[in-house]
Amino acid sequence: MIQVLIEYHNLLLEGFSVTLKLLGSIILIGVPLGTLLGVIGNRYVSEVGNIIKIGRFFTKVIPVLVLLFWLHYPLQGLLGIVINPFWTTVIALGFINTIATAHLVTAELELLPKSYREAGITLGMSKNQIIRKIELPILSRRILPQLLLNQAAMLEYTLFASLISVQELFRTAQTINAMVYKPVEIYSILVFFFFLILTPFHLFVSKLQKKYFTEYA
Amino acid sequence: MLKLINATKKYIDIEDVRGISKVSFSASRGEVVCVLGKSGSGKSTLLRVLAGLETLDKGSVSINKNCLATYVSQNYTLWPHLTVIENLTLAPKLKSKNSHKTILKEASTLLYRFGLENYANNYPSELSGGQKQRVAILRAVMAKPKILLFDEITSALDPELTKSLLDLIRALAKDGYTMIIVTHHMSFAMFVADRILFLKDGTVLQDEKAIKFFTAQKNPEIKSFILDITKRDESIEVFKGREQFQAYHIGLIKRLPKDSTIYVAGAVGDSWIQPMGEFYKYYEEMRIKKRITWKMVTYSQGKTDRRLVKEFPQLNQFRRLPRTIQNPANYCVTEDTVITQIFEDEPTIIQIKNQHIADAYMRFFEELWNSGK
Repeated sequence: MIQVLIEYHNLLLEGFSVTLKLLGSIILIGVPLGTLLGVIGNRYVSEVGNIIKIGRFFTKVIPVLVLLFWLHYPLQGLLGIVINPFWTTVIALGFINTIATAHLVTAELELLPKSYREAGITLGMSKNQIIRKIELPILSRRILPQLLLNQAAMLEYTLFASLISVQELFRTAQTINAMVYKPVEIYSILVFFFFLILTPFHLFVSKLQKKYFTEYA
Repeated sequence: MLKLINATKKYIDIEDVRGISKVSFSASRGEVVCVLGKSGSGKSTLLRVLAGLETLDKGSVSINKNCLATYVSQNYTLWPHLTVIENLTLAPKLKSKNSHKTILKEASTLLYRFGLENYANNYPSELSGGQKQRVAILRAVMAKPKILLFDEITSALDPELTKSLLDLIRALAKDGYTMIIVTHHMSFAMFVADRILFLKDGTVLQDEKAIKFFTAQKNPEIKSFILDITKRDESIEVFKGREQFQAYHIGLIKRLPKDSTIYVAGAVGDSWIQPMGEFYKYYEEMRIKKRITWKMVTYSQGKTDRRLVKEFPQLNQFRRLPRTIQNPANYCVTEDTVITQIFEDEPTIIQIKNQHIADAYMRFFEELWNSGK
């Protein structure tokens, strides 16, 4: 395993770098856009809230891989355009992440005790001040654990990009295996990689959940 | 300062229609009004309407110009992501023209005044229930309101914490805030209220001066409510019926130390001699033997009162109240205890054992005594 790592570290690093870029783009699109849509949908324009609900329904019933393939092959064929598979993945997973975040924000805003808002109103604060200074900071702490778990799921979903020829980590591992045929070593490297990244991540999330459960429940 | 005219707000749920209906009342500057009534009588709705958290279906609320009314609910509502000092200063920093330094100083002074200075940098999750409630009240005070609206602020607190809250409310009353307080805590209401608003099914059943409400209550329904609620209040005991009435007074005269004083405010003299029956003579002998003084204000003196003044002038000090002065009638104070008495077919004593309340009644007694001749 170590020998494969040493020999193909450049290729693996390239694949890892593509995975990171994919994940970074998905997070950068999904988290801010989803938060914004969630707040608008719950506090300002109820129609946006309805769109989030419809989006949530579609992302629940359509598997990620089917959505990715549909965007990559039939849609581009129908529209007569060609989009780089990397960006197709970013669009598909970015959409899923946006909807998941918006749903999370909407649901938590719904659960947020209205007494926090009412205290602000009777102290003379405006609606925007209440959202900015009270609700969003409390909300961010309450949703953080679930939001992080969603991003971990996004990291796992990036593996699907290999199926539409994005040269990310998994696709790179497949390429190396095709060259040297050492599946045990190569896929063990992947197992080890994900274990190393996601174990401390999940431990951290679990710690956050405990902390915020007592303080913000 | 604050006026409600025919205020109506209805909530329709599956089983019931709740809210308030045609409620009219007003509160003047510095007045403390306690709102009492059974669950679902519309108390909280009334407060939420005054706080501007609910819009009326009919009627109107008018509050003097530039008078902010701030609302504190039973759920503390402290913002969990901010420390105590940040909770106090957030709204003033956004609204006030004062510098942040001045606002911070004001908040620190308030915390110091009410013994919370050591918790300035603590988060709400690190505070006890009583501390949270006091911080919530101080946060409302920081907004510089003229009217404070408190909804069941004592409901989740034990008697000791309620006492600390009583001190805070008393201090705010001295500072001249108008306060509308919804409570189930009878001794709390007795202690702080100038007036009582009693609601039933969303309407005002009685709007009365506090002392008169508790001590000279004529409405049988409210009387039964008071007795029922006071049974749940640890500082309050009710003695009902002739036997308990007699036993209580005999026990009291035995318990009191020699040379002590019983302060009595009554409507007419001799009222309690009849329910004391054959035990009155024993009571009188014991009182004279222990040199316990009756200091008493009434509208008129009874036959027995006149005899006692003649025979033991040092132990029987009477003053007559002019009819122009309103007297709630029939209470006495001994050390840390206030006793209110109802003389009817079934004589009843309500005993409130609370130093603060006894002090408040003593101040009232002194006023009556000084007005008497």
